[in-house]
Amino acid sequence: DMKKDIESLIAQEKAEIVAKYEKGRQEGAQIDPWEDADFTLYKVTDRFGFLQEYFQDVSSGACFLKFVLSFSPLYQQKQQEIERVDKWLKMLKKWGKYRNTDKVRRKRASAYPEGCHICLAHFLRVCFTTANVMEAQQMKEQAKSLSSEIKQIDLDVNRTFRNHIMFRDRYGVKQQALFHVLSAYSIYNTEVSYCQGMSQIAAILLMYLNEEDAFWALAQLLTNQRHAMHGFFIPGFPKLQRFQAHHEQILTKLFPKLKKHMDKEQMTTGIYTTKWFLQCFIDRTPFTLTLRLWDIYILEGERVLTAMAYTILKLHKKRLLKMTLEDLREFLQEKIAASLQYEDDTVIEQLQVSMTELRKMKFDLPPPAKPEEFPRKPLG
Amino acid sequence: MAQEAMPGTSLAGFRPTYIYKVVLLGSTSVGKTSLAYRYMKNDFKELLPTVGCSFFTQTLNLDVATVKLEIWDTAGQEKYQSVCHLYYRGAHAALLIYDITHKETLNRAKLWLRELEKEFLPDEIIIALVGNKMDLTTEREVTTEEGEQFARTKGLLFMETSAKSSHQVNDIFMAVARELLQREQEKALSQCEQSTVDLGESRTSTRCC
Repeated sequence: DMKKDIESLIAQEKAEIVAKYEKGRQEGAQIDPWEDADFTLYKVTDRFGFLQEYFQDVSSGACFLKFVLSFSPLYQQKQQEIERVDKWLKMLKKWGKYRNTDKVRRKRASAYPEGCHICLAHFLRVCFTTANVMEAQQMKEQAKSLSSEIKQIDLDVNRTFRNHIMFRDRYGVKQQALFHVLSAYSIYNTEVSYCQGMSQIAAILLMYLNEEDAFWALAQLLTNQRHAMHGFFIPGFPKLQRFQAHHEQILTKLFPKLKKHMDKEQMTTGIYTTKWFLQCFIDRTPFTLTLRLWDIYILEGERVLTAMAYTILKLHKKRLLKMTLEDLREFLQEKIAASLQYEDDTVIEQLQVSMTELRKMKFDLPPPAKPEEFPRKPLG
Repeated sequence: MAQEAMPGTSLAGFRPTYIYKVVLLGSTSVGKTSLAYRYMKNDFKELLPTVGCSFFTQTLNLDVATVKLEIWDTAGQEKYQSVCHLYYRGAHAALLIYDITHKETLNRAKLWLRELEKEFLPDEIIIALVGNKMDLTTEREVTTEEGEQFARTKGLLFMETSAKSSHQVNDIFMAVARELLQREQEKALSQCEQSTVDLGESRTSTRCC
């Protein structure tokens, strides 16, 4: 009887959470003031939608201001981005025809311009039919009663990119979408269900895609051959361990001094690479760079993870050799998240160099996955 | 118990440095990272859910010694326990954190206590029970008395804190540091007594403690 009571309590709690997202911010929605975003501080967003701590008045419409702004790096950056997206669109139109030829790969690799995320995210999505849409809808409905992770998802939605304009409002449109994507996925792939770390990935997808596209993009990332993130998020994290072991090997072979130093300071790869690999550098690199890394990740797949981890150490090797454990932690987790101390373009160039280097040494990928890293139960 | 770095002796006397490992344990979203962040940076911000584990170090210059706390923060989701378990090993202190506005988080803290009891002898580890989110007293589901009483029966340190308002955050870490130090001194004293017995009346033995 007590078990039944607990079960009904859990079901009730789930229903309450679901109802809150359903209601969203409609009239009558009860949102605790402490849960909602704080708008008392004047804040503006940067070009990606993240709220800035300082006041930047670019809103007054004076022509003079616009004229001055057109010379500002920010404006020029925006223009550049638009041009780059154009380039990517052109390149991607030919994708179907040439995507597997070396020529295109090389051409693509030579550029990696910023701003392709918008188109690339669409590429991730399976060309789904109405049936898929129906399926996604059904899963969304089923998730509301079936998912065991509703509560965890709710707690994490409430603290995923709350400093981004899209996820600022408690139960706002994008928070609703994030909740739906994650809860639907948790019943679509029962081996992964929901694992902390996935909310930020889904949120980045939702910055550029609608709810359903984001769901399928997430599904692709977890189970397609190129990304196979399934192994990163299943219990025991087998893929994470495989990538960390490989990273350690690279360290031992290519940076033996640094390896020795890190060992002495007791800095283990488990500490600093977990987020690098599980989330492809989200929250561990400046957001401008994170987006570009994701572009390349989507295109090139998992070898980017190995190469970028190598690149970070390579760029800062000398400095790292002098650091204590605490400095190493602060540097690898906090400082480079604020700035890698090189221009994004430089980092991307270096990343390409690393990829070539590692490929030549046959270090570009860890040993192949064991079958346990892939889904065993049917999806959906 | 703790690793001891050998400091130089000053004219004022011998002031040792102790390094202690403190782990933050508790349900998801009770404020583990926020507590650490408040303590380290004296700030509160919207933090992303913790993925994997991390640590911070804080150095305290106390009267009798320098204490270096290595504070280990972990993901709250149970799935991560298999990965983070490695880092709990050799901990000198644990903060079992719950959210005073969610009763079930206290139950989870109690489960954590059982885990620790399996792994450590009582005098091997100092455990503090911490009820966080004191700024949300209107939503309170766990009374102060309830937390306090549980802590008392189990011999744990106890405090209610708020990472948001900064209430008692320093205090709890300081209390843990003092307790650790006290145990260190007791241990040293008992060793010293032994050596005094061995060596007869020897004042020089003060150098060892």
